[in-house]
Amino acid sequence: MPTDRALGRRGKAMQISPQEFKPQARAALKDATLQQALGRAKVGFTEKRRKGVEHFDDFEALRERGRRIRDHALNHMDEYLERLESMVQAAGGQVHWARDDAEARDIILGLCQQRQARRVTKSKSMITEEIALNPALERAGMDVVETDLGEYIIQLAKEPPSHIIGPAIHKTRQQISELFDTYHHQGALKAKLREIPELVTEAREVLRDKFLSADVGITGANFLVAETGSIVLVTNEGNADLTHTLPGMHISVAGIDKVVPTLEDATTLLRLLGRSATGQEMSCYTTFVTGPRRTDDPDGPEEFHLVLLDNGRSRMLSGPYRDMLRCIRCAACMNHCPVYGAIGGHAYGWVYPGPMGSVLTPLFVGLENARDLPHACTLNGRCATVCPVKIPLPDLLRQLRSDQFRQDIVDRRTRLGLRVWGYLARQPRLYSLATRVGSRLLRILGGRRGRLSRLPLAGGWTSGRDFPAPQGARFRDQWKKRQQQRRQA
Amino acid sequence: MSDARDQIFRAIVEALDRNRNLGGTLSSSEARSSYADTTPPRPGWDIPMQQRFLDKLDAAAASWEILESSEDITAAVHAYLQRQGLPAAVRVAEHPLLEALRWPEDLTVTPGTAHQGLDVGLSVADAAMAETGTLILCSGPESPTSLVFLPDHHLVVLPQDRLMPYMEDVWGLLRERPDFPPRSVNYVTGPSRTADVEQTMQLGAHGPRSLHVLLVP
Repeated sequence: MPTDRALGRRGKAMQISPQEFKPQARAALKDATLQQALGRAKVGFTEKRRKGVEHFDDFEALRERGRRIRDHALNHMDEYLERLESMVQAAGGQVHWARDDAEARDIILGLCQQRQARRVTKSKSMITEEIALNPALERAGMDVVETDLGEYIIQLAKEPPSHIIGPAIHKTRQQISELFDTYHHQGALKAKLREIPELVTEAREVLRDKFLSADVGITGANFLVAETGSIVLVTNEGNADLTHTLPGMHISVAGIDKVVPTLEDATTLLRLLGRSATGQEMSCYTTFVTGPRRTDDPDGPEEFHLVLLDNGRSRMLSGPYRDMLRCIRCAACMNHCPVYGAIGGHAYGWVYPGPMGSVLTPLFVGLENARDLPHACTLNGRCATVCPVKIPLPDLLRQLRSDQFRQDIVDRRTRLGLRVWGYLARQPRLYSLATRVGSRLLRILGGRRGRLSRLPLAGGWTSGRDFPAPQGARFRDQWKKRQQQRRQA
Repeated sequence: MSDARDQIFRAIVEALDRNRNLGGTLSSSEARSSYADTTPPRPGWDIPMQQRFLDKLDAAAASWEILESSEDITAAVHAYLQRQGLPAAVRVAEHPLLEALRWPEDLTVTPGTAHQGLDVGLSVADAAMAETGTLILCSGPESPTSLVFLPDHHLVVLPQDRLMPYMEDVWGLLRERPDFPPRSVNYVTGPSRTADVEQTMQLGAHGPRSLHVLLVP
C-alpha cells in the first residue's frame, strides 16, 4: 500500500485526493477552461478509436485473443517472471524487485546516486507517478525532466497527469502558451496565444539539450516479454528512445502484471493498444529493448536496470479483482466514460482516473480512502464494451460497492436507506402499496410540467437537474396487463 | 533485495494456488495453446504487398521512392538534400551496403552515430512490414540507434526482400540473426509526432520531422 508520502503528490496535487472526489468533481464542473479542454478531448479520442476499429475485420476476435493472452500470462505469472528475469540477466541487465512504492523509490534513487546523476530524463510512465518518483529524486538534488510533451507541460504547471495517455489533455493552448512564456522566456512574450507548431518546436529545442546532457534515463514499459527479456516502449514522439539511448544508464520501471509470454503475444496486444488508445494501427515508435549496450554497439547505455514493482498487484491476483490486472493502460475506458468526460482526471484524486482508476485506486490506497470512486459511474457499460482485454469494469465497480457495504464503510443515511428498501422489497404487498402511493404523489407534485425541481432526500439529484415525475402506469401494472393479454390470446 | 523477490514470488504462487483451488472460476487457467495455435486476427488486404506497404507509408506521412539499383542511392540522397534545401552533408550508418557505394565528391559523407544539430541521417532497415508501413531497425555496429532519432531528416534504405507482410513474419526473420535480440529493435512508422497540444497532430516532436524510404532491389 502506498505510504502517505506517495499520496501527498507534487505541487497542486497535494491538495487533491480520492477522499475529496465529490467537491473536486463539483469544482471541475464549474471550471470553464477545463470544460473547454474536455469538450475537445472527448470527441477526439472516441472518434479516432471508432475509425481505428472500423478498419479491422474482426476486432471482437482480436479482443478475445488479447483477453486470453493476458489471462494466461496472469495465470502463469511466476513462471514468466522467472524467465523474464533470467533473460534480462543473460542480456547483461539487472533486475530489482520492489514490494512497494517506498522500496521502488529507494532502489531507483540508489541507482541514480551510484551513477552520480545530476540530470535524469524521463519518458512518460504512470508507474513512476504511482510511486511518486520525481519528488524523491528532486529532494536528492537531481534535475528531473519529463520529456513527453504533455508530461513536460504539466511538469511546468506542477500538476499531476489528468489522463493516462494524454497527461495534459486538460490544458488549453492559451495555458500552454502562458507556461512556455513563463519558463522559456521569463515572461518576455507577455503570453500571447501561440500556434501549435511553434510551441512543439520550442519544446523540442529545450528538451533536446536535456536529452543530450542526461546521466540517467528512466522509462516505464508497456509490456515485458518473458521469452527474450525485452521491455516494450510505445510512443509517437520518440522521446522514450532518446531517453533510453543517450544516457549512460537506463532504468525501466514496470508492474509485475506487465509480463507476457512471447514477442508474438506482445504483437497481438500492440494491435489492440494502438487502435484502442489513439486509433492508430501502430504508434510511430514501438521499441523492444533488451539489456544494455553490447560490446560492439556504437551507442546505447552501459547499464540497464529493470525495477519490477508489486505494490498490491500480487494481492489483486488472488481475489475478485484479478481481471483488472489484464489492463494494458490504453485509456479507452476513460475516453468513453461520461463521468470522466464531465469532470476530467484530477477530480479522481490519484494517479489513475476514469473507470480503470475507480477500480484501481481503492485497491491501491484502500477502499476507506476512496469511498466515492466506486460510485463515480452510471453503469452505462461503455467502458466494458471498448476495453481491449474485456475487463468487466462495471461489475468490478459494483463488487467494490458491495465490499464497501460489507466492510461497513458506507455512511449511515445510505445504510438506513438500503435497509428500508431491503425491507420493502421483501414485502411484495407493502412494496406495491408504497410504489403506488409514491408514484401518484410524485405525479401530483410534478404538476403539468411533469418534472420536480426539488425532492426530499434527493437534493443531490435535483440540485443539478430536474427529477422527471413518473408517467403512465407502473411497470408492475403494465406487466400484469401484458400477462393477462397473453393468457387471453 | 532477495527478501523482496522471495516475498513477491511467494505471494504470487499463493494467489495462483488459491485461484486454482477455486476451480478456476474467476478466470480459467488457460494453456497458451488455447490461443497460440491459431493465426491471430489481423488486418487483410487485396492489393500487392508492396502496394500495401507504400499506401501505409503515405498514411503515416512518410515519403518514398523506388530505385532500380542500390547504386542509385547516392544520387537519390543528393537529390533529396537539394529538394529540401539542405546542406550537402549526410551522416551514414556503417553498413556494408552503404560502405560499398561511391559517393559524389561534393557530398560530405561521415560514418557514425548521430549528434546534436544533425540534419540528415542515412540507415539501412533490417526489415519492414506491409501491415502498417513500418520499418524495423536493429541496433548494432551497422545501425546506431541515435541515427534513427536525432536527425531532422531520416533516410532509410530498404532492400525489397526484407519486406514482410506481418509483424509475426518480422519476428521470424529477426530470430535468425545470431545477435538476436539486439539491444534495441525499433519499429518506425512515419516521422515523429505529437497530439499533446489540444489533440492536434503535429509532426516533428522529438524524433525526425521527415522520414524518406529508398526501396532497392
